[in-house]
Amino acid sequence: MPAILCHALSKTYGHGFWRLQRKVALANFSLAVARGEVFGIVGPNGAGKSTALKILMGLVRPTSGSAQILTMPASDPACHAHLGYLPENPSLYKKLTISEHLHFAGQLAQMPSKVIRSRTAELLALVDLSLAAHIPIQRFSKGMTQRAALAYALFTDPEILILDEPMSGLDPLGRQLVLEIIRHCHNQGKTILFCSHILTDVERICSRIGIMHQGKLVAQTTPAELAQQLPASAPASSATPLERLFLATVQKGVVPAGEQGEGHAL
Amino acid sequence: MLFKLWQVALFTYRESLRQRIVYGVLICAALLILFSLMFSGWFMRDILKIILDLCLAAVSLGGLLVPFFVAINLVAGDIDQKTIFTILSRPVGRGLYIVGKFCGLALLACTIIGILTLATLAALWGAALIFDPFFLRNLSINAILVAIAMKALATLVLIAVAMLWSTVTTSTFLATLLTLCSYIIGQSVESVVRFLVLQQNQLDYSPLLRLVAEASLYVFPNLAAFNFQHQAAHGLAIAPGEVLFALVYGLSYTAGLLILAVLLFSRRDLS
Amino acid sequence: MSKNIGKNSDKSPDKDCDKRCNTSRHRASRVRKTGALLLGLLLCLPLAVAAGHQVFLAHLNRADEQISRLVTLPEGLVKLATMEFSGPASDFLMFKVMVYLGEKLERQENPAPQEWQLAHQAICQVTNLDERFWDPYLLAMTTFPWDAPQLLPQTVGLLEKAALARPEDHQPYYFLWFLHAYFLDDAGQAARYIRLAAEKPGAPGYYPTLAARSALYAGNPMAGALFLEGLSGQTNNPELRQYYAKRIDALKKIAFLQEKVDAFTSRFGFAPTRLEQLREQGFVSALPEDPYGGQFFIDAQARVYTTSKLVEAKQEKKEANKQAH
Repeated sequence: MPAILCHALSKTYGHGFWRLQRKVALANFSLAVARGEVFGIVGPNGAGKSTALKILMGLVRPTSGSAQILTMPASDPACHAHLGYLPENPSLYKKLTISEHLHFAGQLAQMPSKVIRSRTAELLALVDLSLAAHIPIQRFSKGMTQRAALAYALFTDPEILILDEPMSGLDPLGRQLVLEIIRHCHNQGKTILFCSHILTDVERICSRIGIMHQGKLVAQTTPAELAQQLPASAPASSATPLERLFLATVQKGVVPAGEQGEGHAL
Repeated sequence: MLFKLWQVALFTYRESLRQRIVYGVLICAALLILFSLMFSGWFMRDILKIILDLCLAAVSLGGLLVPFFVAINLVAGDIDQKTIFTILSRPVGRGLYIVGKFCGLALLACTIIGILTLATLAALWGAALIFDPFFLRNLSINAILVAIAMKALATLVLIAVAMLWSTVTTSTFLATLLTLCSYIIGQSVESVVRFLVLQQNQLDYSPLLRLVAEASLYVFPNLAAFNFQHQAAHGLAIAPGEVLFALVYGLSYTAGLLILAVLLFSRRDLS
Repeated sequence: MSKNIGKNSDKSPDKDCDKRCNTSRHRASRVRKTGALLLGLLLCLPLAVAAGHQVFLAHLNRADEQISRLVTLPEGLVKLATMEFSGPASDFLMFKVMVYLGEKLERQENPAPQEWQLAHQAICQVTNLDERFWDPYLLAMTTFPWDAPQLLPQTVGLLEKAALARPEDHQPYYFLWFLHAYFLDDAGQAARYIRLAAEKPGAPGYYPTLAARSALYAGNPMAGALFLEGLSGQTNNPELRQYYAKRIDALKKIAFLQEKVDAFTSRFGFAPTRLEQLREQGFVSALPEDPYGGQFFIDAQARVYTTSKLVEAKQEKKEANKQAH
């Protein structure tokens, strides 16, 4: 049983003053993430990565298709008990402190107070925010907010992590920290789904990589396959195999029909 | 479920207590109450009425702070600035979010009104020291407490209105404007309908106007139903039946608004 | 914490930048700019204060014209506009009325008829916002009939409104009795009103007896004085208290002189034509002075009255009166 399953998800937004203009965010998006996998989604801006993750979190309703977390529908808030979510550009409540946020998360999960306290100390040490435990979020820098939000997502030790651009806004030290944390979680057997447009990070830690373009998952691959694939039509100036694959896929356009989510780059 | 509701309410309450405007308004209201003691000395006989008019106005204003400044910031602002993901990423459904936020805001309103009630009682005690007992002979603490309780209920109704508009519209400015309009209509609708009903023989106006006015009485919150200020200021008796009906009206209307807000909010995309 | 990161410059770039940004020329120009801004501030502030003061003075002199814009607006609209704050609105408007009248009283001038009309309109608006508010009715009763007799019918109307709004209060009907007995000389109506007053809870026991004696109250200065005395004792406003004290004093003096005139008449069989005759014949040791600056006199019906008519005369008139006698 896959941890995360998306089947033919489509999402069309209406915008403009009368909501008449249509924008397709997702078109027939399918994805399966097995337990214990680290799945990275890459894609150009506007490919629909965030939309897919938001549908998985029940924040957006798909126009058609279905999404499942473990065996529960993604729109059921009960499945959040097994999920940790880090949104893109996270916003925590500005006037409260990270300790209060973590306390809230712990209380909701009905953790005893002692456990909440020890876990708070442990997580803040993990994300290197121990000294900022009682400072209101509005005084945090972007990097600190990102790390605080990560601690918030990890607090209840969820089985599945969904991270939307976890490395955005972080300096190299922060990125290193997040990568370490993701590796650590992977070692613990957690399932991690994240999206990013920093290809080097994705290459380093993922067990599977998917490339999204124009609302579809147009290619899937693994680091092992990447090492072998060197498409002839790729520009020679690209540095890594993933970058080459990415550019080739994106520049060529959508994969021919019939290969839903399993297309290989040519 | 109730435990989670309480946690969301408490979280909201804590966030709202950190808003500086709460303390600004509390200070202004306290000053108004002090001022009432000075101002009343200018008058001839009805000194108690003056003090109570101003103190109860301060309580009203303190209560109004919550739907207009706090509720909209905390709900529409939540959606605008994406802080709502903090709560919705937990096992908290849309319905629980709305009701939990409402309870947190209701708690804030009750705290503010409670503090101002104590200040009013302190002002009355001060008045008893300054003025001859003759001027305070119409004092009815019961009427005052009932009036304040009904003001609190009116505040809860307005909080629900503010939350409904916040979940339906896309900007905090629009939500504020709509809540303000609802407040003004709510305060005026009873007078307007009463005027139309009384004048129906003398003035010639279309029955459509009368129909619209009467429908508004039930669609918009009739805030005049919760206004017992006159009775409290003059120490008049308040009919228990009237209070009971107002209570039932207020609670059921609030519940209806919250249910509507939950229904509308459940369908909303947050992106 | 500026370290020299680049090793290839012998003149370190930081010091160079420091030098270029801090020459005496640059310092001087910064000082000039700050000086110019401060100078501008020094010019603007006094100008603002002086002009603002002029505006305030102009408004102060215009204050006589209107008590508040609320007064002239239709009553229904005002009640609607004040929403749940009609109570405090009535208080502030009443305060403005008292300030308006208080200003006139303080300047020792009697308001013109249109000013009394405005005060009446304002009191109507106050009672529209809160019809149980007692102070406006009290103010109307203690000023209009005495100083603005043209407003007597309106005063009666106001008190009828009070009687309806305060059904448990005996005072509105008591006032209506006094108005009809003392001012309107209508003993029949007066008796009707005092009987209504006597039915109210807490009404003084002597009310029914007043019904029979209503005819005696017409224009009786002692009755007027006692009536006002009963009211002013519980007034909390110092200016109005002074205003009442003056009127009570004048009425009591008139009553005193009237008593002496009646004593003279009963002794000699004819009424005196001048008040000095009372002093000459030893009925009074000295003639009292009218607190309003007028002169007491006896009219053709042997009733004592005063040239001031119990209203404040203008300052010049007072001087003229003093010089004439």
